[in-house]
Amino acid sequence: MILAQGLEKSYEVDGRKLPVVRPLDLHIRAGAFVAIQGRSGSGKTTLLTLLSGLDKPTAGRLILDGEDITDWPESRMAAFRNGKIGFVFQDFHLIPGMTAFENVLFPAELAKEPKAAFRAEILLRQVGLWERRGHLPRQLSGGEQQRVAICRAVVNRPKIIFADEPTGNLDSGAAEDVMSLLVDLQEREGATLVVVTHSREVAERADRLILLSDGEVRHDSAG
Amino acid sequence: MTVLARFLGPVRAEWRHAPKTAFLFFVCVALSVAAFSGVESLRMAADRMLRQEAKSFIAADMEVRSAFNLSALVLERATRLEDEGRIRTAFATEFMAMALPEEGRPTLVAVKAVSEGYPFYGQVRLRSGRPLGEVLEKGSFLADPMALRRMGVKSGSMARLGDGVFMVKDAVLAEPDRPIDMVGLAPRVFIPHEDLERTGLAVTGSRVRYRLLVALQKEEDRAWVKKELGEVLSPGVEELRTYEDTGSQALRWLDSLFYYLRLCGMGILVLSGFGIRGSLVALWMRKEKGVALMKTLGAGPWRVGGHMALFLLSLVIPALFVGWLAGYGLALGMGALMADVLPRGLDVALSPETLLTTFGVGFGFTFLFSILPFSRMVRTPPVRLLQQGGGGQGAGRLAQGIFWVGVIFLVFLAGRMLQQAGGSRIPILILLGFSSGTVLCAWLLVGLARRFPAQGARHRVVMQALKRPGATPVATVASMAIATGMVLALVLMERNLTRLFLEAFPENTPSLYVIDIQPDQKKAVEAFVGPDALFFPMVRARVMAVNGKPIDAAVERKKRGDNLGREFSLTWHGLMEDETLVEGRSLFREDTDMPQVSILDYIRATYPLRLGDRITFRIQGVEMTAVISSVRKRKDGSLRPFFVFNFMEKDLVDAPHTFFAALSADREGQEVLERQLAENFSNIRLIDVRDMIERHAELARQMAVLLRAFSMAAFGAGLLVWLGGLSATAAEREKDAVLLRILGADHRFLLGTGIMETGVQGLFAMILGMLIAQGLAAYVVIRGFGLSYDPEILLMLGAGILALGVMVLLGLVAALPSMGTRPADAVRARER
Repeated sequence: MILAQGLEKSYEVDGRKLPVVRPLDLHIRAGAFVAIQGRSGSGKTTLLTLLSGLDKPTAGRLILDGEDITDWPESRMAAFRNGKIGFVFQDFHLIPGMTAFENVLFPAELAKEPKAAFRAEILLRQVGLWERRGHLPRQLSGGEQQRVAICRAVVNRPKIIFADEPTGNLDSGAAEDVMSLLVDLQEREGATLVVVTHSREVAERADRLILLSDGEVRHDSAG
Repeated sequence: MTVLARFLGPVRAEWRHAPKTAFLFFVCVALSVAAFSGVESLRMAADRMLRQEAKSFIAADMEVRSAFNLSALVLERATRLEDEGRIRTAFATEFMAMALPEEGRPTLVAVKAVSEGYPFYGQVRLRSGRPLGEVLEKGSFLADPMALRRMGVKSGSMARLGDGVFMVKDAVLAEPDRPIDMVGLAPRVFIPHEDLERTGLAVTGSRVRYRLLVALQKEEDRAWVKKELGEVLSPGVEELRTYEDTGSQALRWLDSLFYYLRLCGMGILVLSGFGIRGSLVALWMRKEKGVALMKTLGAGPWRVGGHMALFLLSLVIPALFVGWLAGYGLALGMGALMADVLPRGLDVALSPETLLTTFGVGFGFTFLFSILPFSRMVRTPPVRLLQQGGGGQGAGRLAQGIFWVGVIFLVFLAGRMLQQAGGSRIPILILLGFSSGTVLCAWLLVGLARRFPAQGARHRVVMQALKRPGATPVATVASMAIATGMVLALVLMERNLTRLFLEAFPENTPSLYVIDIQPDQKKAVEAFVGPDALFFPMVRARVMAVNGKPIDAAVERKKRGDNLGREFSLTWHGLMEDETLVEGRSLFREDTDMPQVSILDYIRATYPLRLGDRITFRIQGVEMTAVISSVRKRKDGSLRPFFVFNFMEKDLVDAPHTFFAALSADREGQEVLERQLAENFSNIRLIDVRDMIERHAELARQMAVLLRAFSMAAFGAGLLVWLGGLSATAAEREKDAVLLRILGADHRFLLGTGIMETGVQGLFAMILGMLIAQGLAAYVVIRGFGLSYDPEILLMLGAGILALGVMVLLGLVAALPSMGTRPADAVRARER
């Protein structure tokens, strides 16, 4: 569950306040699949970084999985992210010196998960990349890299998965595969999925669509 | 102005784009030439002086020198040539003696009795500024300020030399034919040649050098005069030397110094070369997308290459200039530091010659170490704009070819330069072996680490750092290992030599040597010095042949270390306390009646001598052949007197000989004894061993400071390579840090992995550096000095850990900025 109350982000530019996300209230129920859409510069990614706790809001409060994380220090946030949040990025952001298997394994090891290797193996087998487990990211295609990134995002069974344009760098075939996989894993793990996307196909698969413009929610299909 | 702005505009933009990397590159280039330029400036100044003032090194065109009175034949021939107006001659007779002031301390001095005309070339500088000929009248005594200080006398005081009494007239500040007073065993004293006899010190068996100085009236007579005088020399006793060979011998030890300084300079040059390469790789990592974009927009390789070359030149030219100036400062510093051991009046100048050499070498080196990253930069394909991760374009074949040809040429050139400096090939081969061995070991260690199965998240992050795009762990580890090895080797050498020479001054070590005791004085001297003093007979002789094969003294003297071309003191004595037999059943055999000699093993390093070989000696014109009966070895670091050739008494007792006594006394007792001996035996000479050791220690300290400065510069160059490596991966590390934080890593985790990441490479460098240091120091101490070696494990570990600490600290300082990047900024950066 994600609960945002009066969440706001603005920057000071030449002494003037520049709002990027205007005060908003948002409630996303556990297990939902929410798509956030908007034009470039509408504040989608900033909203995602705020909702995921990667960035601190200028004002407002944020409650994730029942915990008010607004004022948490970075060290506590890091542990929270590791255990309860998964991320998927447009540019994949895999660790270049680690193999596909190591990339998936890493967050589980960080969480000192006792069966980390077993869990990573299951996930890689599920996404059909077990045979490529020893390959470095640069030896994988974009679609394969994103599948590895999704495995990494879910390896710790997170409560929430944030995805920032997960299909933005993929062709339509690979994009379809990746979204199916993401949704499939989200449903199987019972996680909340928040996706920032330009893609109409992705948005259509979501339970709820939030349209952003100039940092304001212009439309929320949840009403 | 527009043209200039067109060129400078993009260059300025590049500076702004990567100021830290540009600065690192600048420092690497400047440092690479500074050490080299410093050594070359000093060497060129010495060469210049040698060329310009070569004749002054013997104060003449040529000289006949002998350890005995010059033969009548030589004197007659010289007189005839002088009468014919071909030459001018002067006498310079040199010996050591005790100068005994009315009050004050008796002091061992190096007396030079000179006749009118001396010096034909160069100048004796006196404190008063007056010419030597004017001051050095009958009965006068001119002394080095150090001698005056030690004796406690000044102008107008009286001092005794042997049987003669002299008046101190002036202080001698410099003399032409003693450009270096390195050992400082005995400071100089000048007396008139006509007073020589009055001293009564130049007697048979004493160590006197008789020199007949010859100045040519016409340069074209050189060969003829040489031939004329050469015809009448007594073989094996008299020797004709010209200024060419004497001059080069006077400064021969400098060759050794420059040889090792050049080695250090080259080491720093190569390490800095790695730094240049590292900083350019860092630049390439930052520029890659920009270059790909330039190419996408239509810029060709020439355009890109020209742009980058201009940027690099804008850094290289001022860096070389700064390096040249720093080298000049370094040369001045070295000159000041070694003032006591360098030729007086050495003029280190900012010469165009050093500027040209510095720029030539600097450009060559920078070009060589830049060519591969430069080629990669220029060859960056436009598609890299769209690609993620490492890999990228390799260097072109032409660039690789040029690089390897350059490396081979460089090795060849370094070998030539060092050989020209008179060095043997062995140190070069050893250094090459160490360097390539280090690179190989670094490659193996890094390779093993990369394959080592990672255990846990932290370990995994550390291991992946070795595979990061732009990471050059092998070059980094190898450079840092060599740099650390140089510093640690010096620490080890210093410790070993100090331990053996200075700290280990055992109680029974003699503190005073008494030399030139005539046989009829032995009993009387014994009465003064007491029964504990050790007396050794000494017979002066030269080695003429081994197994009938004549010894070429000129060739022998060119050898480093000891040689068979010098004059030796033969003795008869049993096996000494600090000696052991290494070959032969006993000191002498009983199965032969022919003369036998026991030799010290170290002399075999300069000439292959075996048991049973026959050595022919010339003792005051009389030849004697002895068979080698045994080989002795001395205990390391012993300060007791030693003799290379030890005979049976029966074979030498009839030869003209003097006695040498070594005794031990406390400071006060020794001063009283010195005065008594000097007053009662005017011909004998005293050497204060403590004083000598202290002066040697001071010299060693000066050298250590110099070498320490060089090794620290090498360490600095190594750290630059380290920084270059960190800089090359800075962007990747920042990305990794952000990603790790997004995935849940906290600051402690990042700090821990940061320490481990630099620590692993630092640890490899430290281990290899310690191995290099142990190898080098053991080689120098055992082979170079013939001493036993203590690896000083604890000290080594302490110093190694300190070096590791510096590396890790530097790594952390460089890594901290990447830890501070907020995850949200990194995610948003893509949007911006």
